[in-house]
Amino acid sequence: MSVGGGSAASRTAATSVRRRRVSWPAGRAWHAPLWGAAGLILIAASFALSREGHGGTPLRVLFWVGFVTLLAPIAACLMAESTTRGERIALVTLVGLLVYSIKVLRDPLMFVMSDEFTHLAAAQRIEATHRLFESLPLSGLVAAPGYPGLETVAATISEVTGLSLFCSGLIVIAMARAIIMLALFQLYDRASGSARIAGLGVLMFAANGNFLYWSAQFSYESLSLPLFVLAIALYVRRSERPSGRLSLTLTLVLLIATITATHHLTSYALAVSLWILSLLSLRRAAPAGRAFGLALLASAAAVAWFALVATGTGSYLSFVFGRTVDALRDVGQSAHTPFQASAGSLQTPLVEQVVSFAGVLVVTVAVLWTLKRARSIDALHSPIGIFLALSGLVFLAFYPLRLFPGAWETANRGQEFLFVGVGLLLGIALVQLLGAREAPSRRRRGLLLGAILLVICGGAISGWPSPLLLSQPLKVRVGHGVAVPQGLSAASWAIHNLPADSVYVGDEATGRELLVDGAHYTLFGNGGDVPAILETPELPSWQRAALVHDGVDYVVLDRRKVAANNAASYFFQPAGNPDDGLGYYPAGVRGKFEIPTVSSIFDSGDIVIEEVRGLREPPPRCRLVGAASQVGGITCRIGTTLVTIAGANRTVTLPDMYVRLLRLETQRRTAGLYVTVIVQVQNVGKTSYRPDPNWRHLYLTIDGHEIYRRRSVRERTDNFNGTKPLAPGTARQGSLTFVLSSRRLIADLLSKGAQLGVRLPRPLREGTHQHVGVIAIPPPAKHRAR
Amino acid sequence: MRTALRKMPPPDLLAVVALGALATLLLFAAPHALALRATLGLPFVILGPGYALTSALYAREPPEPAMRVLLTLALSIVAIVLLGLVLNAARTPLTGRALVLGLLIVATAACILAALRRRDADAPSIAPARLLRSPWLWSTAALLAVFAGLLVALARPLPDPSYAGYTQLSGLRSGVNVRVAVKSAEHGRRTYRLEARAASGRVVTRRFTLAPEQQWARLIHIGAPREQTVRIRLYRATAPKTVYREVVLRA
Repeated sequence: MSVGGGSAASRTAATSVRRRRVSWPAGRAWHAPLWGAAGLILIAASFALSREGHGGTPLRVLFWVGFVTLLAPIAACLMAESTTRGERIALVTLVGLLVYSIKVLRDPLMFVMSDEFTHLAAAQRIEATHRLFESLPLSGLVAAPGYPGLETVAATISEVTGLSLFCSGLIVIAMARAIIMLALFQLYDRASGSARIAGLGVLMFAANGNFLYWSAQFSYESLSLPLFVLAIALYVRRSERPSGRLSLTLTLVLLIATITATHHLTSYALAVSLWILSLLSLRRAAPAGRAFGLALLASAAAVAWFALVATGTGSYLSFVFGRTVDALRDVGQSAHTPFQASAGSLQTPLVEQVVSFAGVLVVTVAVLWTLKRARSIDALHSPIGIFLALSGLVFLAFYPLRLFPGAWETANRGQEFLFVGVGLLLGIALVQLLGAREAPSRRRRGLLLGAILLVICGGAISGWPSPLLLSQPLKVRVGHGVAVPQGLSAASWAIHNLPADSVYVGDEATGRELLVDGAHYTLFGNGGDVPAILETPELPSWQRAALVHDGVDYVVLDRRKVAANNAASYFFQPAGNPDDGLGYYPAGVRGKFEIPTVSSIFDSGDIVIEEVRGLREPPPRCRLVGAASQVGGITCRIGTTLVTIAGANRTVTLPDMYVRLLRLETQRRTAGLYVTVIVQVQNVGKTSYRPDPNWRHLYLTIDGHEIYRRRSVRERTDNFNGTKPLAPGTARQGSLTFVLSSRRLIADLLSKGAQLGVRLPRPLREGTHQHVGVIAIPPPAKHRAR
Repeated sequence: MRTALRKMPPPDLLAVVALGALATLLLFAAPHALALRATLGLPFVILGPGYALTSALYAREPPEPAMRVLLTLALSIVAIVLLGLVLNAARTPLTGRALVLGLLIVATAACILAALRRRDADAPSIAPARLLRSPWLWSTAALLAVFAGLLVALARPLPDPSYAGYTQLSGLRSGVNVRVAVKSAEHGRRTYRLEARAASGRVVTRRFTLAPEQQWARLIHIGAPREQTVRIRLYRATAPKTVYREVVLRA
């Protein structure tokens, strides 16, 4: 069979079409781009209105009307028998590019999807160093530098044309989108022998949840998946001819090499697919389909790349799949409602949820229905037919994984590959339902058209948080200027005003923005110590140690919980809902950095930047610190002793322990002046500690004299007693009573006040330093005489 | 083969090499002519190597148009990725010049091979008159025009009266003084009072009004060495007793 011509079956189908001349919608396929333009106008209007602060149901309706306007005529043409093969190819390419253009119109100013920042940074690295495989200046598990295929193409376009990496990236993904649509058509056409099935199958591929946005992002999988589909399509062509296939083999070798250098999972999927197809050919007595050499090459290339080039891939993949395994092990606890991408206020409206569920139901029923009839469907008897049918079956098995947060990512990515098989099964189901011999009734056509649109819209809903389907305000025109969200502004300020070699800790949004703005090194994301540093109100010694160990200079704190959402946090929030309904972290998250040697140098309301490089430096000598500065709280050193003086909040923050003076009570008795301090002690460390039996780590200092507490006072029930350990993360409130019998000490207390001293319990002492805290106690205003 | 060489090179292959040569020449001779670089460089990079490789690999049995487009796009990507790997392995910096020169060499070599392998030297036939008569051309052109218009309209900041405005305050030490900047991203003009207080007790205050996206930046002579904490507080004129923003440069 020639590489050039269409399949015999499709040519026969086209001939029969010409013979019967079904009128609907014959000869009008060229209208589809015009309908596409109309759909894009409606969608663009919904985006513009959304960015101008309008919201609510009408905008979403406008978006969906535009989406349906764009798709429905194409679907109708692809359903029609009269549409020619060439028109079908044009229509499916049009679907791919039109849907991609929605993503471009949604984010026309910069990349704002989470993975795009990483790949943009990798491309920037290539442009800056003119070398591949350079590590990225960010913490965490990132596989992108080891697979530079996508970034090489974008950087080449940018270097040769002078276009920005953003524009170049958009062009690369547009090419990828055209490739996948054309390759799917070739694959389905060869597998089914029908251009009609192929056209409808490719259209139905648009129903996979990632098609609208996820696979349109500037990410390595967006490029590798199209190349994977092309490789399978070429394999099928190659398997149809017993000889004269050197060109196809060479093309496949080139594709295997490129996919290996572009994306890890796709290279493994290609190797596995080639093995399965070769084995199926063996079983089906189709010798031309045996491609063990290519399968071996693909496997060897993937393994060699994994072991020799992209050596960090193992950690990355074990992290991703480890979460999946954990999620499945802990099924009872980790289950959650569908639409996982939506969190908190980012809820998908009920109507859209119903559409999505209905879409899933239709896909499931259609796939099972087709598989049940597989014996009577010739297209599913060949090795490629069996392979794609198996993919469809496995696809259904992946649906339950979407119900678990840890497994969601695996299911989401896996299902995109497996949807290649589902597309064919849905195409076959549609053609069978449309009727092969007689023109379908208007009612049946309408029903099937509705089902197609339902499934595609349902897929789009399930793949992306519904509120973020619409464009969000990113850069806003205010008067003659342009305002940007706080995260972008903070990142820009930091890059322009702070030393170039600074190391940052940041949230999902600001961290990524710092990365692509050129920060020397950034720690962000949901792994490691970052979430605890940014979200908990305590600063235990291990956090300090982590900041010191990683050489962190600046911590970017965003008090909004939406900052941890890597899809929604890049944009302006509306004034009426500035936290996106997700709320704020406790005030203590910001307050914990109100400690000596740490400065807050930037404050935009929600975001503050704390300079923490002082944690690495020894504190100043106490004699150099002026008395007035003690009001604000400092740490200074006397010899090897570090002295932390509490600020106005009367809280002393020692490593792993906070002590807060709540109240002071005095009472004159015959034995002297009873001074009772009511304090709260909090263990913010990771280990329990057992108090001294006499609580001698809290003491009163008056005029240089250390006074320890009287063991207990009978009438007080809140006296600290015993040595019950204080567990990590817990606090205990109680009192300590000191008895002053010396007149001089009483006079000093009443005239000058005193200090409550805090000494760390022995297990918490760090190194050779003794760490003590001091809380100033002003002279009591009055004391009760007995 | 001799016949093939004696013949006029196929115009499609000649066009690929010419386009590549022009793009390369432009990058070397006029790197600042960005519009020209994009006009010539983009079609060459995304189509040239792929078209040449497709022509070379499938010279004996030219693919149908859709397959040719598919292979052209895919093999261009393949050529770029593999060229990048080869250059990197050869320790050649991946500059624009090296990449475009490499692509030109690949495309030229593939075109020569294609010319040699084509038996009858027939280039893929394109019938311009038929193409111009096709309603697809006009409807697609209309779609492209609409898309370009929408992109131009949306690829710029739009007004949004409902966004949550903010003001940012920053302060950095500069010797014994502090560099303070206030930038407004509020919806309207705002009047502020800034107060810088050193641990020594010295206080400096400033009052100013900012329009949206306007910035106020000053060096404030506070005379505080590093051992002294400096607090900088920003108040709004509408709420003069409530601290609106605060930075603290601690000792």
